[in-house]
Amino acid sequence: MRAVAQVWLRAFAGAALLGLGVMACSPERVVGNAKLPPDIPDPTAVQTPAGAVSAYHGALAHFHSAFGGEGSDFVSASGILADELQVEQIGVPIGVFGTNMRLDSRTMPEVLNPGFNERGDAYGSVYAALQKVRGQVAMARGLLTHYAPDSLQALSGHLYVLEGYAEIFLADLYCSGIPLSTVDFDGDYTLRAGSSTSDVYRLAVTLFDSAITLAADSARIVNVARVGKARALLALAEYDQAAQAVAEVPDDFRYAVSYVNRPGSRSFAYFGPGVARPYPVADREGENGLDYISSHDPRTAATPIAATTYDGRPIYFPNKYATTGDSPIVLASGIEARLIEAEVALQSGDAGWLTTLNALRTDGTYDTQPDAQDSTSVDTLWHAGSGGTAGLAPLADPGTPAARLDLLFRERAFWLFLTGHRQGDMRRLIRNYGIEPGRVYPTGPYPGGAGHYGTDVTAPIVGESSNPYFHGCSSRSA
Amino acid sequence: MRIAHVRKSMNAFGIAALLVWYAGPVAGQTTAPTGGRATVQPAATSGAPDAAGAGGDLQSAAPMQPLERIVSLHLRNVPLNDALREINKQARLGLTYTPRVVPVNKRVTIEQDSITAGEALDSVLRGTGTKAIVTKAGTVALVRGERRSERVDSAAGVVMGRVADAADDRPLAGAIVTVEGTELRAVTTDSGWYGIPKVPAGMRTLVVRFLGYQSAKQPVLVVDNQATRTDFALRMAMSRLQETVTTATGPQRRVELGNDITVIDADSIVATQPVTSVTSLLEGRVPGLSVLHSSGAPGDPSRLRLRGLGSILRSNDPIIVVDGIRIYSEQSSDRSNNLAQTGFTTPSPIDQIDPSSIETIEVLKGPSAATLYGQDAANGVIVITTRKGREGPPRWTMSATRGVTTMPGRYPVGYFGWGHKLADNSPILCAVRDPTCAQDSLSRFQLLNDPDLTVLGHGERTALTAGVSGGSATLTYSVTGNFSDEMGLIRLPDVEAARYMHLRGTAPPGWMRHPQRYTTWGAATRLGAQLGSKADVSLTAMFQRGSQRRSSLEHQLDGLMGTYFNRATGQYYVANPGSFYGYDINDQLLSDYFRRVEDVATTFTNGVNATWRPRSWLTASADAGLQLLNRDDESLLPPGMPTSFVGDTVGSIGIGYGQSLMRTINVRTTASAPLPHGFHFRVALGANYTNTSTRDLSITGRGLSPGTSAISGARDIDRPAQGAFDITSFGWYVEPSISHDRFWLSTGLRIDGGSTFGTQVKLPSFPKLSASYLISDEPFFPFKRIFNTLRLRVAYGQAGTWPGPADRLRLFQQQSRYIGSTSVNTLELQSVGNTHLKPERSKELEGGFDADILGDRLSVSLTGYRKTRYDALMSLPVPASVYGGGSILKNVGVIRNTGLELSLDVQPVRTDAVTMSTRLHLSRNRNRVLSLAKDIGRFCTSGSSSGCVAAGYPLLGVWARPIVGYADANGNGVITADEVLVADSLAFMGEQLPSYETSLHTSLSFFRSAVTVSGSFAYQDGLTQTSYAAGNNVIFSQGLNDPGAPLGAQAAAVATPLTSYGAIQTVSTLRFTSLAIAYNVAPSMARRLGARSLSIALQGTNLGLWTDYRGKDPNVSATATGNGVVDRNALPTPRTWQIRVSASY
Repeated sequence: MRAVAQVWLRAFAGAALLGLGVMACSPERVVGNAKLPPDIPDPTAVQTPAGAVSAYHGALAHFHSAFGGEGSDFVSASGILADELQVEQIGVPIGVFGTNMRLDSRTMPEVLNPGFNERGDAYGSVYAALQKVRGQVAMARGLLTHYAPDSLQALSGHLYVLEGYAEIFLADLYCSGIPLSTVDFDGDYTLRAGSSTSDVYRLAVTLFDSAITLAADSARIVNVARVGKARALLALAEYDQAAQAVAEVPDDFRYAVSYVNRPGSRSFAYFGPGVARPYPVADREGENGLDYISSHDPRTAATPIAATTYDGRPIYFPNKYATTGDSPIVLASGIEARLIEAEVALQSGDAGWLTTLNALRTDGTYDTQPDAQDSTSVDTLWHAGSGGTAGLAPLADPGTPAARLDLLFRERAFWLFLTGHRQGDMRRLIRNYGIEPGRVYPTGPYPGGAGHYGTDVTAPIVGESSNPYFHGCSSRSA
Repeated sequence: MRIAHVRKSMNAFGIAALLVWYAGPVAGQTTAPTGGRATVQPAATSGAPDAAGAGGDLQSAAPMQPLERIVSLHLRNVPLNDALREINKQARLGLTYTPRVVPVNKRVTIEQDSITAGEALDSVLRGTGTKAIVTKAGTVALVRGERRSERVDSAAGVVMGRVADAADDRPLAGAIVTVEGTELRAVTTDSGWYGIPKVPAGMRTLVVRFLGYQSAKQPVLVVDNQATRTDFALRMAMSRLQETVTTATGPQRRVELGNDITVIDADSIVATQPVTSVTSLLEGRVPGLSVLHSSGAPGDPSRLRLRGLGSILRSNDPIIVVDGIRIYSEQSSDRSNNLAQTGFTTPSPIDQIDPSSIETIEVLKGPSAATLYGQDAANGVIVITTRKGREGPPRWTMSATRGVTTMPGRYPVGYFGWGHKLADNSPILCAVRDPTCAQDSLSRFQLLNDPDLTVLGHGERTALTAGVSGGSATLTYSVTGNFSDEMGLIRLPDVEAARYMHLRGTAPPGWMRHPQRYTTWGAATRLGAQLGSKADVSLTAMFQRGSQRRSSLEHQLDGLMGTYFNRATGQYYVANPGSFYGYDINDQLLSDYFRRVEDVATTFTNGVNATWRPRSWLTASADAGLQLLNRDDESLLPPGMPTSFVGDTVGSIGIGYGQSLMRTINVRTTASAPLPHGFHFRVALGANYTNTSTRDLSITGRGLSPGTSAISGARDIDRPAQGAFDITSFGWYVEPSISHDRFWLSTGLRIDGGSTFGTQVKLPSFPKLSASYLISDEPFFPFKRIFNTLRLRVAYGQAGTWPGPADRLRLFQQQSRYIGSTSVNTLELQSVGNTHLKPERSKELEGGFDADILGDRLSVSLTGYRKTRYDALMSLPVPASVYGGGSILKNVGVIRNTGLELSLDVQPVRTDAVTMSTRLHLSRNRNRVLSLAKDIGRFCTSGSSSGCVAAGYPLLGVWARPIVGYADANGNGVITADEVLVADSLAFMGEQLPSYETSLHTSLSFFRSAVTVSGSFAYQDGLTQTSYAAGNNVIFSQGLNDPGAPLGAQAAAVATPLTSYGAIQTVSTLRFTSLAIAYNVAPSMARRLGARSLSIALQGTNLGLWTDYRGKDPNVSATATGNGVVDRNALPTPRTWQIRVSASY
C-alpha cells in the first residue's frame, strides 16, 4: 500500500510540475498580437484626409459605373426595359430569357432560380450598383466629416447629388418597396424595410436640397442638384415646385459623366473584343415603341454595324455614343430643365409649352457623332442659341391633350435619348397621367418568334432575401 | 497487497520469480522489449542457479533483452561448449555456466539464421536439463532445471508456457490465461510468458483470452510438484481491439478509447490492391468518409469529408498528421487551383505522400476523437505513420507496375431533329415545337462515343517502388523510394491534328496530342534510435516531387458532349449554353486545345520525435517538424496558335509561385500510477504549437515573341496577384484517465488561442470524455458463447474550426480608377468585418460497440454519432441595400450531422485450402441546418460552394423551382412552354453528399495464399446532382427534338430557361471499384530466383458502374474549391488495368 501511495504521489508531483510549465505558456502569450498578412491593407490607414478624398473618388467612380458604365448600368438596363434598346445576339437566333431577355420582354419573376439558369439579368446587378453608390457615399461623407479639413466639406455636397440621383434611378427602375439601408462609415450597418416609390423620390428631393446648401459655391453642382430635384418632383407630380427648381438652370448647362476607353472605365456603349452581346437601338419595339431609327431624327440617329442578327436583320448602334466606350453621357442639362418647364406649362394649360419645345429644336444645335465607329469622343452638348438643329423643324400643336402629352414625351424621349430618362418617363405616363401600360410599353409578339412581351413595368428587387425587413415589392405597378 | 500475500506463501525461489512476472504488468514494468522471440524458460522452472551471483537476482528476471538478440549459427557436430561460446560471442550475453551443470562435451548441431539467443540456447541445451536465466546485471547464466521441482509446492503443480501470435510467433503481452473452473489466472509478460502456480493436479483446461485474438482452450495434465508447459498460438480476431493507435497524447490501445478509430494497414493494402494515392487508399475503407472526385485526370484532387459537411464557409477538410507533424492539408481552398490563374485544379496535398512509404493510417472522424488535436480538428484527423525499420538484416522490397487506362461506358446520346424551313425549304435544325419548320428526320448522336472524333483515347501508367529496412537493437532504418508516370487518356483527334498541320505546317507537339501527364518521384526515410534503456528518437524525412500537365483540350469535353457533326456538310452544330435554345455552327471540331498548364509541387517534410521514460510511470515526449511545399505553376498559350479568338493569337503566359510552410512543436508528458482496489490512474499533459504560412504570387502576360515561354518575353504584363496567409495557434491540454481491468474512462480539456479570433473573443476551451467497457470479460457476462469479445464505448468531445486570417477585419481596398480621363486612387469598402468572430465549435457524441461473434468468424462494429456544429461561420449575404451586397462573416449557424456506421468482417470459409474474408462498411449520414441566426431566412450562395442554406434542410442543399404540372392541353403530343407550370418559389431537391454509402471488400485466398482474388464494390445513394449538360445542351435534348419523347422529358426541356429542375437528379450508383488477382510464387521457387518472396498480380479499377443517372458519371463532380458539387462534365474516372510484380529480398 505504501508503495502504491509513493508511486501515486510521484506521479502527481511530476504531472503537476509539468502542468505548471505548460500553463505558463498561455495561448495568448504564444500567439501574441496577430500580424496581418502582407497583402491585407491596414484598416486604420483610411482615417486621414487623403483617405476621405479617396473615398470621395470611390463614390464618383461607383456612380460613373452604375450610371452608364460598361457592364451593369442604369442607362442601358432602363433602356432595355423601355423602348430604347433591344436584346439581340449577333449570328444566333434570339431566344427567350437569355441575358437580359427577361428585362427586355418585361417578364421578370420576383423569385429567381439559383444555379446555372440564373443568368443575372442586368436589373439585379444594376440594383446592387446603385445601392453601392449609396453606401460608398455614406462612407465617404463620414470620413470627410471626421477626418478632412473644412476646406473639403464642399465635397459632401457633391456626394449628396450622387446619392440623390442614385435614389431617383432606383425609384425609376424598380418596384415600390425599395429598402434604403444605411452604412456607418466606421461601424455597422442598419437594415431598412422597403420604401415606396414616392418616398424614395421624396428622399431624393431632400438630398438635393442638402447638396444645394453644401455646394453653394459650385454652380455646376448646384445646377445638377436643381435638375435632379426637379426630376424627382416631376415624378411626384409636384409640377410647380419642379419648374421652380430648374428656373435658374441655364440653357447651356450640362453635367456629363465621362468615360474613357480603358477596361472598367468604358461606357455601356462599348463594343469590342470579348463583347458578345451589344444592345442595339430599338425601333418601334413591340407595338408601342418609338421610331428612334426610322424617324431619322438626328438626336437618335443610329448606324448599322457590319454584323447582323441571326435572320439577317441589321443591328443598329447609336451615333450618339462611340463604340469605343469613351463618350460622355449627360446626367442633367439645360435641355432637361427646359423640358421640365414645358411639361409644367402643359400641365397648367400654358401655351408656352410648345414654344419651349420649339425653342430647343430651332434655337440651338445638338452635336451628334455622325459615324458610330469613330473612336473620337462624342459631344452631346446642346449649343443654346446657335441657330437650330438640322432636321428639326418647329412642331405644330396637335390640338388634343392626349396628343400634346404624347408629343411632349416624344420630345423628351428624343432629347434625352439613352440618358436614363425614358423608363421614368414611361412610368410617369402611367402613374401621373393615367395612360394604360399597354399603350406605353412594348407589347405583342417578342422578336424571333419566342413568346410575347409580358406586363412588367418595373423590375423586381433582387438581393434582399437576407434582409428580414424586406418582404418583396409592395407594388409592381408604375 | 497481492504481491505481499503471495510472497508469504512462496518460499521457492522460482515460484517467487513467477509472481514477479505476474505482478510485472500491474506495476507497469516495461523494460522487456515486446518484439522478437524469447524461449528461455521461466525461472520458475529453474532451480537455484549454480552460477555465482545469480541467486538473489531472479526477481529481475523479467528483462529478457539479452536472450532476444539475434544470432546466426552454422555448427555441425561441435562440442556444446563451442556452441555456447559462439552464441555468447554473437549475442554478447556475458554467459556464465559450470561444467558441473552443463555437459560441455556433448556434441550438438545447429544451423539457423536470424534466431534469438534464447532460441539458440534452447536448442543446444535441449536434453541437458539445463536452462538459461538472465541475472539482474543483465548477463545470462545456465542453471540446472531439475532442482526447481524440488522446491515446488508439493500440493500442486505449475502450469507455464508462452502465448504468441499464430501468424508470426510474436509474443503477446497481457493475455489472460485461466484454469477453467478455478479462480487461478495469470497475465502474460512482455515476452509472452505466463505461469500459474498451485494448480491442483489432474486434467485441467487452460483458457487464454486476449483482446483482438480468438480465444483458445487446451487440456493439460497437471502433475504434483512439476511444471507443465503449455504454449498457445492465437489467431487474430477481426476486431483488432488490441491494436495500438496513435493519439494526441501518445500511443494507446484501441480498446482503451471510447471512439471508433479506423485503422488502415496501408502496408498490406498497398502490397495487394491497386492503390495509386493516399486518397485511393482511404476510399471505401473508412465508414463515414466520403470521397468527392473533381475529375479523372491523372493526379487530380479529391475532397475528403468525414461524417458530412459541418461548415459552409470554412474548410471541411480533415487535418493531416504525419509521424506527429502537421502537414499542409487544404483540399478545398483557392490554392487547390493552379496558381497561374488557369482554372485548372492541382493535385491534393495529401496525395503528395507516397502510399508505399506508409505503414498505417488512422482516421479520427470527429471532435469526440480529435479534441486534443486542436482548434481546427473538428473535421477529423488523418494520422499517418510512415514505415518503421525492424531489427534485423536489410530487407529489400521492390515492385513494378504497368497499366493502361480507358474510359468505361458510353456518353449519353443527344438528339438532332433535322428539318427544313417552311418559308424557303432550307435545311435547319428543327425542334418539334418550332412552327417555322418541319422535321424530316431525327438523329441520335454523341460525338464523344465516335472513335474518329472523340478526344478520349487510352492512357498508360508506370510505377516503381523500392524500399529497404532493417537495423540493430539500437538503430533501425527504413528507406522507400517511388516513381510513377501516368499519361491521361485525353488525346487530340486525328482530324484536328491534320487541321493543325494544314494551318501551321507542322505537326502538333506531343503535349498537344496527349496533354495529360502526371509524374511523381520521391523518397521517404525513417530512422529510429534507442538511446539507452530510457529514451528513443526517431527522425522522419520525406521528399516528393509531382509534376502535372494539362491542356485546354480537356475543357472541350463540355462542348463536345453537345456537338452534332453533320458529315454531309462537314459542319459542327454546337449547343450555345448562353442561350438555351441557341447553337453555333462551326467548321472545326475543336476551338481550343492550345493552352498548356503545368503544376510542379515539391514537398519536404522533416520531423523528429523524442521519447524519454525516466521512470516506469512517467513518459515525456516531443515532436518538432517542418513541412515545406513549393508550387511552381505555369500556363502557356504559344503565339500564333489558330484560335478562333483573334486576341489569343498573340500568345499569353501565366506563372504562379506558391509556398506553404507548416511548423509544428508538440510536447507532452504522461504519468501513471496505481490506485487502490485495482484502479489505475493516468494523466497526460501537453501543448502544441502550429503555424501555417503561405505565400503565393502570380503574373500573367500577353503578346509573346515566337519561341518564348517566359514571362519576360511577354509584351504586356498584367497586374500581378499576391496572396498570403498566416495562421498561428497554440493550445495546451490535460487528459486524466482512470481504468480498472476492463473499464477505461478518459476525460480531457484543451484550451486554445489563435491569431484569427476576433479581438472580443475569450480563449475557447474544448472538453472531452470517453468510456470503454470490455463487458465480455466480466464473469457475469451471460453471452460468452455468442460473443468472444464485446466492447461497449461512448465518447463526447468538442473541437473547433478557426476563421480565416482577415475574416474579423473591416477592410478597405485601394483601386486606381478613371474619372473622366484622370486616373485617381479610390478607397472602397472591401469587407464589413466582425470583431466578435470566434472559431466554429463542434460537439460530438458517439457511441457503439465492437464484437467478435460466432467463433470469431464475424466481427461487428457499430457506431452512432451526433455531431453538432455550433457558431458555424457563415458568409451571410449582406442585403444589396447595404453597399450593394457582399457578405459578412458571422457565427450564426447550428448544423447537425447524425449517422450510423457499421462495419462487418466475416470469414465464412477458413480452411488451409481456401480462406474467404469479407468486409462490409455501411454508413448513413443525415445533415441538417438546425437553425440560423434570428431574422435570417433561406439564402443561396453561388460560386464554388453553391447551394442554399435554410433551417431544417441539409447544408448547401440543391433547390430549384419545381415543375408542378404540365399537360398537353391541345392534344398534339407536344408540350409547349405555356403548357408547363413552374412553381414561383424554390423547393428543396436534395443534398450534395450521399446519404448512404456502402463498400464491400471480398478476398478469396487459395492454397495457403498462393493465389488470392479480391474485389470491391461501392454503393452510394442520396447524392443530388445538377447536370450542366442537361441545361447547356437542351437544344439537343430528346424533349425538344424527339416527337415521341415522354411528356415529362418535353416539359423539363421547355422549362429549362425557367428552372434547372429538369437537370437535377438524386442518384444512386453501384460501382465495381476494384479487382485484384495475385499469384504468390512458392517460396522455394522465389528463392531460386534470388528473392525471399515474389508475387505477380493483375489489378483493375473502376470496372463497372450501374446508375440511374442520366449524365455520364455522377461521382466526378466536386468543385476544386469550396463545397460545391455539380456535374460540369469534367473528365470521369477512367478504368484501369495493370500488372504488378512485387518481390522482397
